[in-house]
Order: sequence, then structure tokens, then C-alpha cells
Amino acid sequence: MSVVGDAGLFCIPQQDAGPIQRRNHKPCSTGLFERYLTVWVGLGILAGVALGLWLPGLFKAIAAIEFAHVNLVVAVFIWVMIYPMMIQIDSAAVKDVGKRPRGLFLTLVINWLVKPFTMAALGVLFFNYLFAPWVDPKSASEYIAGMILLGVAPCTAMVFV
Amino acid sequence: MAVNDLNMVFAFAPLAAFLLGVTDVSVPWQTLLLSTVSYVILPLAAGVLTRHLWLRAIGPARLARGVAALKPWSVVGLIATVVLLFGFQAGTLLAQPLIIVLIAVPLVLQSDGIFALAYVAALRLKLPHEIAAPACLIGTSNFFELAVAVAISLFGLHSGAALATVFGVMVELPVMLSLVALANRTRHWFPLSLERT
Repeated sequence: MSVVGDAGLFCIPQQDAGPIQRRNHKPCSTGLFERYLTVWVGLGILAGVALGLWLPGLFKAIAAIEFAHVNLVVAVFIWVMIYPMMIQIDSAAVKDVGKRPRGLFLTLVINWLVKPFTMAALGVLFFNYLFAPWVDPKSASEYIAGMILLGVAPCTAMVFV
Repeated sequence: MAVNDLNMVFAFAPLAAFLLGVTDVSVPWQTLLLSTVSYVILPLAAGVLTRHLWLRAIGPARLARGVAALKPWSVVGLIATVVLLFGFQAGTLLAQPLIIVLIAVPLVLQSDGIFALAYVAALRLKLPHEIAAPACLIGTSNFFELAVAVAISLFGLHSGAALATVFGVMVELPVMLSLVALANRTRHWFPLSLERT
């Protein structure tokens, strides 16, 4: 996912985009919705916590809708989230990549040779050492795992570079 | 996209398994592969296929409108997932709210550090700004939807891993917007562009 390009969940707001926006980018149709993503996510967090406290039974029921360790409700939501991004991908844009080999090379190196490793290293450094007094070891390894997954998942807009 | 998704398919699962293995987190390989298939390959194939079919059936103009109309659903899906995740985690979070700050600190460091590194590399490579800026920004940002999806299927809704990936969403937006502003203000550091658009 990325903030940049059409393949991402949202675009850079027009006035900020300026020179980064290039001619083969379709204009960003940044709606109210995408632009305030942080706000929506924040509200989602508050709503989730509130509902979790008031209606723990509801969440237990949802957690029980499982098939082969995959929660079906979550799977549906994730598809709702990912599919609109995938359908935006215009394969015609791919042929432009060859024109910018150095830009592509830079993102490839960063995405696959640098970022995953620095993320894992930072996760271990912070959660196993610096934050050790505040986090129990089991949760620490889970937070590290989450950070690693973030680090290895690159932005899908990278070919637009 | 093709380049990236081939990479995604071949590099994501092994790299994730390797790094998780190094850090002593046990990962069921099958689950990891299954989630890569169901959250990357299947949606991608479905997206490409339906795009192709629609293009033939209704033409490019209406396709573009249809795609634009679908786009907000991404956010709906994300927020719905977030509500669920935090609903499951409500107890944990209220017991130790400090954890939010603890997770955010390394994530912010990571994003800013990677961007700085990429920017310096781009300057050294003498890339024109119009290539360097998006390259660095895209290198910095994460496909956090995938991370959230995989974390949930690997470790479960109640896990700290799922929580950490959701904070990735919270952290990424403000950090990326500040980096975009920075990239726009430092245009004069770069050689003049070869290609005026």
C-alpha cells in the first residue's frame, strides 16, 4: 500500500502532490474519505474499544465464525479492503517501468534488501532490549512479528516509479 | 505492478518466514503460504480478470467510473477490520495503554530512517527529483493491508502482531505526508530534470 500512486489506498492530496505527480498518473480522486484516513482509523479504534467493552459477547460470537483457523468475517473485510485496490491496477502502466530503471532499482533495493532487515532489527532492539522492562517476552515477540510483517510488505505502487 | 507482484509472490513469504525464524517466532509455513495466496494472488487475479472483462463489456470511461466508485470500499474494509481488531483487544489496551507509544516509536524511526537512506542514495545516484522523490516515498511506505491480513491469519485476532500492524496504519499516514512535504521542499537539492512534463 502506499500514499503514492493510483494503486494505493489513497493518494497524496493534490496541493501537496505537485512535482511528484507525473503525467502518467491519473489525477488523484482523493475524496474526503481517503484524505482523513488517520482520523477514520482513529475513530475505528475508539469505536472498537468501546464496543469491545460494552458488547464482549458480540466479539466472542464473531471470533467463533472460523473455518480452518481463518476468521470468515475478517477474511470478508480484508477482501473488501484489497479488491478495490487490485482492480485499479492498470497493466498498461507497467510498460513505462523500463524507462526508469534507476528509480525502480532504488525502490527494489530499499524494499527487499534494506527495509525488511532494518525493521526486524529495530523491532528486536526495542522490544527485546530497550522496552524489555515494560513488555512481557511473549507479547514482545508478537509485536516484533507484526513489525516484521509490516517491513516485508512493500508498497504496491512501486512500479509507477 | 507485474514486477512488484512477482516479487511479492516469490519474496514475501520466504523473507517473512526467514526473518520471523531468525527472531525466534515460530511460523506455520502453510498458513503463511495460504495467506499469501488468498490475500495477494487471488485478489490480484480477480482484479485483473474483472478489469479485463469490464473493459470489454462497458468500455474504458465507465470502467474508470466503476473503479473510482469501488475505491472508498477499501477504506470501509480497513476501518471495519480495525473496529474488529480493537474490539478484540479492548481489554489488553486498557490494561496497558503505554503499549501504543511503545509500538509507535520504532515504527516512526523506521520510516524516517529508510526515507533518509533512500534520499541520500538518490542524491548520490544523481537521480532527477521527479524520479527520486516518488522512488523514496514508495520505498518507505508499506502495504499495511497485507501485513494486517497476514498477521491476523498467522497469529490470530487477539495477537500483539495484529495490533502492531494496525499501528503501522496509524503511523504511516502522518509520517508519509510529512515526508511528501519534505520532498517537495528539497527539490533544489537534485539535478535538473531531463524530462519536463
